[in-house]
Amino acid sequence: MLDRPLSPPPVEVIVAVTQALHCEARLLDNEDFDGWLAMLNEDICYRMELKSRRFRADRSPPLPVGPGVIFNEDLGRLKLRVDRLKSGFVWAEDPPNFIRRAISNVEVVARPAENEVRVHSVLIMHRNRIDGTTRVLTAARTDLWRGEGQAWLLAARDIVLDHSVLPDSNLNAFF
Amino acid sequence: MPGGSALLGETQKMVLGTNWKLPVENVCGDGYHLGWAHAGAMSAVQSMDLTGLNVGNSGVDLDGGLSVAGMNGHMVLSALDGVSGYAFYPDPKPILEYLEANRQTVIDRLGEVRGKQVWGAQVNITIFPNLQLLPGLNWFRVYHPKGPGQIEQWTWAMAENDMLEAVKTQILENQCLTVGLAGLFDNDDGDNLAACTEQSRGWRTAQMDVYTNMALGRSGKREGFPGDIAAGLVSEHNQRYFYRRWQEHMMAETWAEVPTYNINSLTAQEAEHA
Repeated sequence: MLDRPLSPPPVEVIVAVTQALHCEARLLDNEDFDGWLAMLNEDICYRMELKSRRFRADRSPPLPVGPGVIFNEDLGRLKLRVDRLKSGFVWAEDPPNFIRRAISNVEVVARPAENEVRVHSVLIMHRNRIDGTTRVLTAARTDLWRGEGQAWLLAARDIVLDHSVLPDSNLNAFF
Repeated sequence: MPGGSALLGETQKMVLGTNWKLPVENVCGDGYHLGWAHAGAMSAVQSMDLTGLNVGNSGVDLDGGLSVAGMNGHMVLSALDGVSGYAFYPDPKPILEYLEANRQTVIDRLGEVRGKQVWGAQVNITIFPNLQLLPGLNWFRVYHPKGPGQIEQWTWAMAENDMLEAVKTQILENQCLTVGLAGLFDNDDGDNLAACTEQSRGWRTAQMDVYTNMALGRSGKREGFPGDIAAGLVSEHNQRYFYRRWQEHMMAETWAEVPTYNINSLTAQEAEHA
């Protein structure tokens, strides 16, 4: 997506949305899942597709029913995942893992609707798990944020994970 | 169904710090880990009964399934209700309609037992040593050993070619939800398998036996089925055969020394009427 408009959105919008990205990362790092869910729009579409890595000359047709997904969640499904994490039965998260998210390369792009912005960002997730296992995952995110009253809410997130072989035993964390 | 099956979607690859035998054991016979290891996921997505298995393992229906082994290390764990393969679909209705619409075709082709009881039920198939496919939950998986204590796990969704595209889409979606890279069930197993591998490296632990004695001495022949069979999905019958086969391979000096067996194989006539 080219996404280079003639004029950027107002600076206060850029500040507010960037703050929202950082706040979101902090809430998730602290496992404040309810706080995070409150930042999501009711009709959120949260997706991470499986990506193919083929030779450049490969002209195979697209797969019949699509590539499949890692996440394809609406608000109900995200709540279901949160309920699972809170169930006390997710042994991989007990004791809690140390997870830290760093958000970078933030671009806030104006949209025709004044209360909407497209936001590109890069996420680096550092996970220290089990005893001494450390994994670093990186992903690119393209979001749609919508201004609702005083707050900016996440309305859509399309995530591209930069690993063709997942270097960890689960993805219990949100991106 | 006569149209066969095909794999769907991209390959889902993940590195796990485990000995390759543990995930195979986990799926080939370990029905009782569901109610413990996957309690969180079961409480989130279970929509139908699977041989009475439940969160906390407070009960089980041993008549509702079979643990089948005895053919060169290959194994089957099967429920016998013809529908429970879709027990972990939040909305199994479209697939149950497919099963109902095609049940007679399958009975005509494969007989009453396989058509009525096995097709559509949760079936875990293990092809020794490292290939597993689960019609029902609809995944197909290969474990590639990557040296001691590490594997790469490759998973695909699997659907019958005769299914409507909407059903195939639902299967791919649900496979990704339950046993995909962020799968509600799969994400429980990885650390358990890694912990079992890690603990077994300890000096004292390494001298201990693997304890797989559940339902020992309670297997035999069943009318209409091949193999040495124990009741239910909760049993360590299949695990014993898995490790027995591995031991047979490890002890053999040459391929010729690896025994070949097919316990209680069906006669051609029995197979016809099964």
